[in-house]
Amino acid sequence: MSDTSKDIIRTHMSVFQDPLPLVEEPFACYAEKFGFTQDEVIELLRHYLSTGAIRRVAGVLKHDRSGFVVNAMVAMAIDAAQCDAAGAVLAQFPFITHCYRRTAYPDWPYTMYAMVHAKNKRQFNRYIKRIRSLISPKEIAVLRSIKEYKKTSFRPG
Amino acid sequence: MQRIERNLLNAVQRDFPLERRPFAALAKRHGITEKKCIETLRRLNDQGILRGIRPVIAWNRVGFTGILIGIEALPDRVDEVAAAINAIPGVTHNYLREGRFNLWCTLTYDGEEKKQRSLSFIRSLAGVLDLREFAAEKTYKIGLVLDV
Repeated sequence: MSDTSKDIIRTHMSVFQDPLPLVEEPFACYAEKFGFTQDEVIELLRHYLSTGAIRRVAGVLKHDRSGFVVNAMVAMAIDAAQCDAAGAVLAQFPFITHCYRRTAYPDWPYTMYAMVHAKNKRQFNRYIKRIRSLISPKEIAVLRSIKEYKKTSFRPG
Repeated sequence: MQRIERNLLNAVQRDFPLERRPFAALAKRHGITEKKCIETLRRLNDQGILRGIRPVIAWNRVGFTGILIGIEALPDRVDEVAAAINAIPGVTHNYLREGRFNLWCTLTYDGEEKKQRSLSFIRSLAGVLDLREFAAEKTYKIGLVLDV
């Protein structure tokens, strides 16, 4: 990517980082900022959806406010060779929103991280049991969220 | 939550119509008026249940990198350590968790130097005993959809 096109994309993203106003014609707010028509804005959004710079245009929930009160980062020790297979299984669970393979350390053997969200403790325990039975990680650490200090969308300034 | 609220929340998380009057299209699918659709979503927004409807930007596709950082902080200093970390530009998530690394934050940055500066700052905070970088080596899911 050339620096110029990178700059253009970043400028566009700095406009698109604002949430849509909840009004009849929400895309008009971007149109105004760009000096484009609404149809051009929608075209531009479609373009970035196709390039992958924008993942989706969608509603984002605050999960603890929408009934998901038990949330945890679940770290699992899984052999490198098994990670892709395990990742594919974990990705299928609707109660897992994020799943990554990450760096492990000699004193911290976990290679797989999944964010698990449940409506209550019993449901949460059931989810962990399902993970254990379908993935059989060598070790599993359930790192429950105790306090949220910050949760925002990235803004490049 | 009412059924229509649930249905709308589940719908907007999946696919938001890319057209001039998206709420009219959404309303039609759910058998309500555009006005009722907008009012309902506004109420959910005011209640803090809906954070917003927006393009979800893949910052990693436009030159930024994200990293997960695990920090071992003294329990009686952890609140102040967290507050200092929150002030770093690029820190988007920061959670107190169970376990040895009790503070977990995500940092989005462009350029190794910015990352190193943030990491040095965190290491220098009173009460920080250890810090580890947990770079994502592979992404299996970024879903963000939770049926309510």
